Amino acid sequence: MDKCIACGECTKKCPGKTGDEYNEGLDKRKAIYVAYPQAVPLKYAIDPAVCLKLLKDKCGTCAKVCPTGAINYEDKEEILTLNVGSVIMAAGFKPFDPSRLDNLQYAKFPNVVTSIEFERILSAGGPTHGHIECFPDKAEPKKIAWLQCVGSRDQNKCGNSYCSSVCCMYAVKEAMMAKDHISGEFEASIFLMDMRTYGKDFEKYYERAKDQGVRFVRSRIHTITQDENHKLIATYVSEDGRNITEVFDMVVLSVGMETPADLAAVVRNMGIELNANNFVVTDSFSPVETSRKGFYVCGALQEPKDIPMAVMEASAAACDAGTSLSPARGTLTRTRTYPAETDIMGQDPRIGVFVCNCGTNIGGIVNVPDVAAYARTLPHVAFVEENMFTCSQDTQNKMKQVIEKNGLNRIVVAACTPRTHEPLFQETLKDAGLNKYLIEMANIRNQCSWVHSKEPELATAKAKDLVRIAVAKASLMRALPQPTVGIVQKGLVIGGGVAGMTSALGLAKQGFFTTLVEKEAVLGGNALHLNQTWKGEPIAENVAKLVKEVRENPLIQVFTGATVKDTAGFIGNFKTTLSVNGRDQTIDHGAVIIATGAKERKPTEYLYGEDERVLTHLELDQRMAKDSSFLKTMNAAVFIQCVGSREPERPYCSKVCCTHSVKSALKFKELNPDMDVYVLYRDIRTYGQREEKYKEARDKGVIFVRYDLDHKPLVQKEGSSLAVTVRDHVLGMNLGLEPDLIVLASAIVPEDNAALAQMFKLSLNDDRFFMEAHAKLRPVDFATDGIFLAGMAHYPKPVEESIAQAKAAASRATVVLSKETVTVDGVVSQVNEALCRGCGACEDACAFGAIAVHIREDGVKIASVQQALCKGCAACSVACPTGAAGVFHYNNEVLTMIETALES
Amino acid sequence: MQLSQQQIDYCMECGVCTGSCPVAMTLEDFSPRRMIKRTLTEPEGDILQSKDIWACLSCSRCSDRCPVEIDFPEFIRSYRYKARQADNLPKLSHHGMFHTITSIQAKGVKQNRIEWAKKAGRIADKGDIFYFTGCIAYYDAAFQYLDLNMIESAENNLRLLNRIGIQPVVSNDECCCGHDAFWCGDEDTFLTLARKNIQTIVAAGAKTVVFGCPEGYSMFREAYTQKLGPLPFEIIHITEFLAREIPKAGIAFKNGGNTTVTFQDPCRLGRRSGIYEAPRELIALVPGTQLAEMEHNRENAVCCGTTAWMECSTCSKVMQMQRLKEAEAVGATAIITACPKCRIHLTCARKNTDHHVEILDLVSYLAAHME
Repeated sequence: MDKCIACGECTKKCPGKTGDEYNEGLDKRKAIYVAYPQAVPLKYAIDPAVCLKLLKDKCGTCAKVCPTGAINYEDKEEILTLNVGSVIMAAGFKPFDPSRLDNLQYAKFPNVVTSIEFERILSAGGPTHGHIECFPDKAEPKKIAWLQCVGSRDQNKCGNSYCSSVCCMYAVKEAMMAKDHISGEFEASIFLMDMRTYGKDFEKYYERAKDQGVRFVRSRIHTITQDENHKLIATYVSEDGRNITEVFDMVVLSVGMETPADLAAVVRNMGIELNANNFVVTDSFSPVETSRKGFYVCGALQEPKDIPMAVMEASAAACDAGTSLSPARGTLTRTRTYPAETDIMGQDPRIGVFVCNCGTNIGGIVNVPDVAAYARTLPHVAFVEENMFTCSQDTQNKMKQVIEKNGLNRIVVAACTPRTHEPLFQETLKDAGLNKYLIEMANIRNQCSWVHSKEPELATAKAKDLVRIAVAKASLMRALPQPTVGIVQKGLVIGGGVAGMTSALGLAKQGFFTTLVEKEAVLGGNALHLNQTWKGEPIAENVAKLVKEVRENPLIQVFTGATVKDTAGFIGNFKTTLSVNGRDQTIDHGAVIIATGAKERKPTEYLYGEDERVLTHLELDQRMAKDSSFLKTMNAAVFIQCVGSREPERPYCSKVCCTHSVKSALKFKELNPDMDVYVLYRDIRTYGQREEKYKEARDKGVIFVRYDLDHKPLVQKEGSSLAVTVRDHVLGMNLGLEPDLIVLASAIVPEDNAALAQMFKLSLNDDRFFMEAHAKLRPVDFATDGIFLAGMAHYPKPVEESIAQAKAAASRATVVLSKETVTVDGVVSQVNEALCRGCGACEDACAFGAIAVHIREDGVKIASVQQALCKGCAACSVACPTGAAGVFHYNNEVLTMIETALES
Repeated sequence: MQLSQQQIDYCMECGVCTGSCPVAMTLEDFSPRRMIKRTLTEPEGDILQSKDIWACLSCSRCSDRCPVEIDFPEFIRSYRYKARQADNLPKLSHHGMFHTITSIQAKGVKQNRIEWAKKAGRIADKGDIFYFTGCIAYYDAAFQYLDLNMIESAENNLRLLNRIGIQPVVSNDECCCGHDAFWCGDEDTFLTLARKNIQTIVAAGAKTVVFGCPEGYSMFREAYTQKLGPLPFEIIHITEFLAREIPKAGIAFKNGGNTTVTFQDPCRLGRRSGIYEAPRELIALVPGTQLAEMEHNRENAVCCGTTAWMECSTCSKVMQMQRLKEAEAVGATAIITACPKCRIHLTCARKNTDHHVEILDLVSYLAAHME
């Protein structure tokens, strides 16, 4: 494997073919292959089930064509024994296989596909290069139907009564993407029971899809049949009770998630408890701990979940796993040493050019000797060499010798893309005692030989151009410093709710002194007013335990009645002023976790505030915590969902309320089985295994009535009694209810985050929740380094998710705090003070808070760059009206490259 | 009122029931989903006066498909019981003749049910195996006008049993299994009949009861055990019994002459008892016979149009015509079925039409090709 340079010669010649698993078997791959283009490491593998050499001892072509001798037919599976202190289970899920449901005819009808197949069909790298085609004439579909809950929310045919959590959202996404892919007339229809777009910014996307014409039909289609033209026929009942038969060109089955049976067996054999759904059992207050000590879980093995939640849990598991390992931190690491860097200041450029053949990838098209000969004619070029593979290890060794022998002080590699290969060459430069920024790459493969494979002469000419441009730039390059900055190995957590306390403990348990700031007089936040999690764990007890743990941890300093007044600094070196009960206190810290929470909104409708029988969730919980006997004498109660959520003014879903109402309704039924309990809802969003609570509630006789935004329930007072009128959409008539109690699922709204956002230079989204660096892949990071996000300050979420995110934030902050110094990248912006007018355009343009205007001692306004925060994106350079701000190696160098390109 | 019936409270409003219902396809406003929702909010409401509760065929397509396993047919049945008390009665077919026959049997009448059997083969008074003939002898008399020689299928069942070496008990004391009474909400009649039948079978010393009719089999399997507890004998439907025994007995069949046939899955045998493969295995025993599946088969099969001799309507006819067309669409010259009622209803539907597909009894088809 070490020898493979992923040139792809083997796969070109390989005669063996089989279905490509990555494209869901929709097209073919070779017997020697890379599993998928993004594979890490990018190495070819042999499929023993297809390889002729391994099956019949014939062929052997790949070994013959491999330029590096990387093929080893004798390679065997190895059993490795590792000694570890913690284990993280992240084995994931398997999409539900609908071929066992004969009513949907997935196995038989070519135009019935699964959602995961449809993902591949939409992909430019997929079997049809992103074209959506129907069988048999490859025509673009005009009508596609998505069928939700295939393999989920069905205890009858597949046994999966849970909700798979992600399918509603991905179906909306696929429908929107399909609209983009198909030209002309097209209708996307999604058939669903409840639309579960409960995630951050999901509801807005759902609304946008509706606006753009995606049709949402509240009906489950049971059977698909096919006509002689392979069109698909579905019969379903409309909301008003009519049976409708409709014809579609393609049907996408929104398949749910399952733990594969073999994986479940392995996990069980490891002594880890799984529930009846084959998901790992966890506790809400330790959401990534399994039943076996030292074993942690994250992702869909615990429960179906989407990417951001899985990413949060992954970091949370790293936090827990790291806690027990923290005494051993750094004991198994090795530090690489390099020779001292040669000072090239004042030296004339002596450029070495290495032209790569990349096997036949470049050499088969571009005349490499010609390019090398041309390179020798260019100014400052002191050495030129052709290589079969410039990236191979022996070439690296040789390059090092050549640099030393010829006194080279800049290197140009004309080969492939710096994205994958620049770090390798930078290492070689460091080994040779050169600053690692003294290399420039000319991409004569991806941007030349591959795209111009039919025009070898023009390709050769272009390769020469690219080399000339690179050499011109290289001659201007200089050694860039990579300053190291000391890290204050202390954390600051803002917000003393469940999330904040968990983050503080996460840091302290890993040995980092942490300051916890809470604006109220007591720790605990919203959790102080909640009774139970949906799994039934008592919240008050667990929060008290958490508070005690925080209070007793010697590494945690708690300030209550405290707020953040001011802050300055950057990753590793913050200085923050707190106002503690009116007195200022300044602390130094290396990382910040924002966990300022959110709050329940006070409703403005449904007689709230006018009648004491109308309560919010938190008020209900508090009243029940005191004494729940008042429920025993009641005849009827009504829960109203989406009070203030999912409305134009607040277009997001508050995520926690459906489960909370269902859980409370169950409690009512437990205390008083004769009571009539109604839940008036728009979509029941008991995602994941919370669905089982919904089922239990229906089982116990709780009545669910759906209403829509145009027909909101009407709450009135009739004499001394409350009267609720709601329109039932199935019956098409009004129902009159006379409850003794009305519980409003009021929206969760953010705290006033503006001041904090301003101080730390953080962004808020349209709903005024903090905005993370990346909605999917970096859900606990901010764009600004060293600052992290946890809990409801990010978005409404239940306690188990707040805890997971809080642990994740601690884990992410640990990455910063565990180092004594941080090395800053060299390719950063700098401001030429002589040209700066202090206008501040750069500060506005910077997404990372890295550049700011300050007043110099002489009173002049000047922008300056905090190198540690700068990503080298050059947004400041673009914004700067005078050319004062610019990024090293991307300033005059770029202009020179353009001029050189035009010379020829 | 406090509702405790899980089957109705479970509804998630997905609409699969109504979208699957063959009655709802034709009968506008008939909606299982709406009936469930309505009783949810008004348990004793106007459903008890509604005609709709008699329209359900209890074909179980809805309950088979419901993601939360709501047993809609059972829901309907329990309301039919209440509707009867409220004087809401179904419209009976054939002038109520079959219901009258049932109630006479419940009151106790001396029947001659074995005359045909004495001619057709060998039977016993007592023994291990009891052949439950069902109402076939009455149908034989009633449906002469359709040129259906219904008793033939009982004769052939007996012939095949004899050929395997079994001399079953066939009893004059057997009575109606109570299927129609049960599904009409007449639970008292059903219970009387059920007790009588169990008594008769036990008295004959039988260890196994072989049923010629899917309705009797499904009643013993579901309703008898639910209402009266575990049965003191084994039960098996003739198709499963023959599929198991014929290969052992080495009976050979002559070539069916390159005929294409299809199979109508009776609701009671298929969805309600889960028997789909045995009848198909039996058809496959006849060389030359090709089995072509109709578009809707097995779990997705469509009912023959009426249940329990009531509410025969346009709706029934639409379903029956659909079945005939589906059979012809796959090139079948005959629809084979294992239920006497399917045979009667489809034959009736075919009368005075251009459809020529034959409607045949499965065991009779086997017997006709027996070497």
